[in-house]
Amino acid sequence: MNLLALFQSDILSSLTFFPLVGALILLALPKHALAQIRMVAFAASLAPMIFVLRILHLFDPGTGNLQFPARGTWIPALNVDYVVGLDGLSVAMVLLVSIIIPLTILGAARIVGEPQENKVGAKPFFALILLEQTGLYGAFTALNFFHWFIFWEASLVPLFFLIKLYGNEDRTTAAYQFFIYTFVGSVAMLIGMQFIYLATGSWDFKELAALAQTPHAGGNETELVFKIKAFAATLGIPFLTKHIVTLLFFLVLMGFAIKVPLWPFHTWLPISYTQAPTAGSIILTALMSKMGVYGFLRIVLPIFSPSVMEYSQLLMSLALLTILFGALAAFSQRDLKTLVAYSSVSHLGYCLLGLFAVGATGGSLNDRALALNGVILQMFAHGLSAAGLFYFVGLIEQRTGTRDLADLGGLRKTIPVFCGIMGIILFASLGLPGLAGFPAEFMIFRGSFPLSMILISVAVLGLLLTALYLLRMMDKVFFGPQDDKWNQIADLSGRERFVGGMLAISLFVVGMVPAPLVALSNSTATQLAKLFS
Amino acid sequence: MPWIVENLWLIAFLPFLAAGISALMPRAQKKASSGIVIFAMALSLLLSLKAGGYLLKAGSSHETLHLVRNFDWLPYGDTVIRLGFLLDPLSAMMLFVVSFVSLLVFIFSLGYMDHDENFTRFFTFLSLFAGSMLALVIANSLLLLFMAWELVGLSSYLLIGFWYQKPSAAAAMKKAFITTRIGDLGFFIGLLWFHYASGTSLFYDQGQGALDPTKLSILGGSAALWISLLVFCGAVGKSGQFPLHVWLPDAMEGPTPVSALIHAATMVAAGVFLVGRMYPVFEINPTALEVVAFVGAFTALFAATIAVAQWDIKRILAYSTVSQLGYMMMGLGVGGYVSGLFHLFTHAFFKALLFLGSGSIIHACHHEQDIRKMGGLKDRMSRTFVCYMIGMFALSGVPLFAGFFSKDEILLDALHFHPANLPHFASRIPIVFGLIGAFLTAFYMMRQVKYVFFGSPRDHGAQHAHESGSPMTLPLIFLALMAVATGFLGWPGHSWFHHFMEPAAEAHPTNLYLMLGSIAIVLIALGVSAFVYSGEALRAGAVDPLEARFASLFRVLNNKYYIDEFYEKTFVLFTRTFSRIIVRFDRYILNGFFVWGSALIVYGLSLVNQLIDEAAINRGFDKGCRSVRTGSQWNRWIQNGLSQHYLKITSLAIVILFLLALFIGRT
Repeated sequence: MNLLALFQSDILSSLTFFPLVGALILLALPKHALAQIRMVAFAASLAPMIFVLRILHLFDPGTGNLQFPARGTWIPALNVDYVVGLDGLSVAMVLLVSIIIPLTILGAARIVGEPQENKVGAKPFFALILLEQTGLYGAFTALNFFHWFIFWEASLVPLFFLIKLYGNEDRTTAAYQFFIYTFVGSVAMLIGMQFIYLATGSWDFKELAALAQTPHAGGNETELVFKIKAFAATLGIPFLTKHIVTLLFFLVLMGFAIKVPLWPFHTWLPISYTQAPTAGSIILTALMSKMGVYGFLRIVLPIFSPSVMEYSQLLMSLALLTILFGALAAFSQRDLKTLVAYSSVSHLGYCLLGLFAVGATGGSLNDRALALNGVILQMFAHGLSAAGLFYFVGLIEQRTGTRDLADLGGLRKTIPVFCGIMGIILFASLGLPGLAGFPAEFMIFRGSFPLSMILISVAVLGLLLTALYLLRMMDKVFFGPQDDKWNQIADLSGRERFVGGMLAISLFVVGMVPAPLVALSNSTATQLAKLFS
Repeated sequence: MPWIVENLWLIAFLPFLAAGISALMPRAQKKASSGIVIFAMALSLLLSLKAGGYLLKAGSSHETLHLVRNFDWLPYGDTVIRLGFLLDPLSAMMLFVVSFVSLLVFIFSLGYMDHDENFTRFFTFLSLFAGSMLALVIANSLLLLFMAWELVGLSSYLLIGFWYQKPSAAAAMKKAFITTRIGDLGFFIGLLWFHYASGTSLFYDQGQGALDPTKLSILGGSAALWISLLVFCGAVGKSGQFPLHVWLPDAMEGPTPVSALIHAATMVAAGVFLVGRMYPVFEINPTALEVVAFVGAFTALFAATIAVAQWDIKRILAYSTVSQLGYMMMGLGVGGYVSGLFHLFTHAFFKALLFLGSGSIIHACHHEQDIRKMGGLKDRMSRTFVCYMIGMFALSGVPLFAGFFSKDEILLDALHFHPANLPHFASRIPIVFGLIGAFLTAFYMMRQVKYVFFGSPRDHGAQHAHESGSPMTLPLIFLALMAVATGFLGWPGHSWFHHFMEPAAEAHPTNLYLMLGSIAIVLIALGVSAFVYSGEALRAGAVDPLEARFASLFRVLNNKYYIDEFYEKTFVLFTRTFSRIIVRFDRYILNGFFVWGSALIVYGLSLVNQLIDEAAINRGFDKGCRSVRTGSQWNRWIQNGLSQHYLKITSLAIVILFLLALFIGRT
């Protein structure tokens, strides 16, 4: 099909490129028309929600297969197609992007270090966020590695500039470390996937996954492994031939492990999250980190299922360390933003734990499906709650000019509504039943429990450590005697109430009635789980 | 399905709804907010009575019947997690206790919290608590129970820290949440295991629930033991059992109505309720109940010794609560399912009475809580005094008051505790600890009463004290009536309560010697205490006679065996240190050594490369070309600047690719 025609008819392509169009319109606006800039940006980021609602309406939760598929020939010489589609793994993420980005734009009105106080101005700021939105949609809908990789990388760039141009005091170091570190991961992954392409002649996720499931005639390995080994053999390096699958597995794993991140590849994260402007931190934690987890679900689990099974104990242990060490590190932070950053590390550890547990032996198909559904719900829940936490931390910084816990205290007296809504988000993050974090964590733990009882029991410690650092934060910011210098700070404005309230309400709804969201992912998750049973 | 079972959820929902409405109300709407909350609570009480009435009417036919209303909550794979609500004698009994005490405490709070600027918020939190607690008792699923369990923990956290500006309150709220969460970790693992092992999330489900005999029989002995012990961890945390009791006395930082409702009558009893609810699982492996018995017996005695040497009127009651919860656990553990729950039942009323009484006293004495600064309140607050004395007699176990009946039932069951797998002396521990504890209980209560009500005022607060208003004294009178009446429901040998809870099983026959012995112990303790704390001992500035006689022992007890200090020096310090080590490890080893180290190596290589380039070729053009391709691009990345180029290249590439796509796609 003609790509141009494809773009016009395909709902996913329209969704993806709509914010880009918005960004272009934005660039045409006069530089100082801040109100218009903001309005256009907000409208452009919110408009895809219309497509998303339509997608949700048409989406059939009964099938685990791809929906809304569209395919066009792109670069025949390289066998690169433009392939998009949605299934249970990605639909919740597309919804999440459509919720978070508009709220971020709405909320980013007056936050330290952001547009109007910055000499670069507001226009590039909002344009970058819109570009990021396109990148994210693209990465969550693309199903051909080549095509997907462009979006994966393209989503790095706007964030680099958000940090570099609008960040806090150490923004330059943070931006470079963020970029280079994650880029190294991308390169590793690219090498791995390129090798697979050379061996199989395909970039297509579905084709590769199918190859990974087809047994090779007359052997006990899969078609994919056979082709990879055959290709490796042509290189004439015996060592490589022998270990090629493991090597490729770890190369590809590396890209995602850095992005999520998995301990010990997380050290770029605290500094980037801390130095980024609030909007940047929100996108990084709520959406970018999800690209990593999504990559595991989309690429690593289907294509490398034997390797995941082989190394599941190792990987689960690393996920465990991610949970525990992230939480412990959060516990002794004085900088509010660094604290929340480490909390993100720890929370994403739950996702990774559920992911890798699927590869462990024992348990039933339902257990694995539950764990995978939990991973996806946790991505969604964490997206909402972490976005909320960073938003409110940004508001605190904007009001008091400090992120240092030692300077704060007793703020609840002056800003009770602020404290109330932030409290709800914080308790959602802590996994309080009735809010979104709880069903997600329960599903991950319950699904993984039969697969690895000891490890899961140790991982439950994370729930305690989370309470430790979050309540410490609550205590240091809101309780105790209040310093007189904070007597005059303002409670939430109408706009801030709306942003915070929307997040709180979403967390509440998902927490009380998780079934509709889980229903979206269940068929695909179950299909994926079958690979490991 | 009977109407009340169909609509059982309303009992919990109404207070939640009231909490939600009240939360959205501005501070000034005191009347409307408290009115809605109290109204919702009154409705819940009526529905609870209706539920209880239905079970009574159903008569003995309900003995094996658990009335349930289940629904699908979370479908996954090809199955579904179901939740539900349950009406059986246990939940009916708890419903009555919780909604009755809640309503009285709410009314009491109208007076007690009248002058607080966050009055509205207080009622919001109270209602949130009531809703969660009611949901907890009617949950027909361990998962739903756990969810409500965490929510009562949240309400408790919010209410302990209601006066959050006091550093002690801020510390206490955190401590309460964290300490109970330690226990909840065990509970959570137990929940996962129980759900996994039984394959259903429901307790009762037309014979297919996890607690129905068919499913119980497939649960192996060792799995049952593990599940029981793990779930018991949660109960230990919530019900303040040793070694997780440390949060409960500190929780007295909350307003006194909170202490009465949450930290005496209802929430802290949730642990006992949980063991009661899971009793069929605990019974599978005898070791599980033995652990419960010993933890309970130890806590009963241990907390009673601490209560003897405290000065704060509420802390004495708090340690007394810990000790009484120990009795309940002990009762359940020695096989007295009914006696443990009966003590929970009676204790809820008389301990709420004592706490509200202490609230009335504290209110009158201008928020003074030190019993050394009280005295002579007998005549100044006669109504409170009479009610308080009734509560005190009930707690001490004076015959014909409620605590006498329920405590004796526990002791009786402890007497018959002879598990086959324990040596004889070990099986005697509960009864011996129970009797010593009974002595101490009567002793410290008489000590407290003497300090508070007798002698002459030792401070101007007590000097000017006068009786509280009727919103506060009326609930006291109601509770005082209950503190007498409830005991008769458990008349030895003809226990109505026993028949209601467990119609099938027979209670142990009354043992007259045990009863007379325990009466003697209580009377002697009261007498000794009354004798010791009289005359000189009640003068202002006098040293506690116990302190004068046994100075070092008194100091240890007064400092609660230094357990807080021990935890501070071990677990807390360890966590803190470990956390700092992790942060440093991150910063210096992982990020410093490995990440920046490898970056520097690459940088160094690129420098070498550059030098070679310069020396060997020394031509700008070549250098420029190579720098894109070879290692020196690292150099340029680390140095400021190239990323913009990179962006340009990337965007250029994207544009080219798109153009390509459009044209190639056309073919």
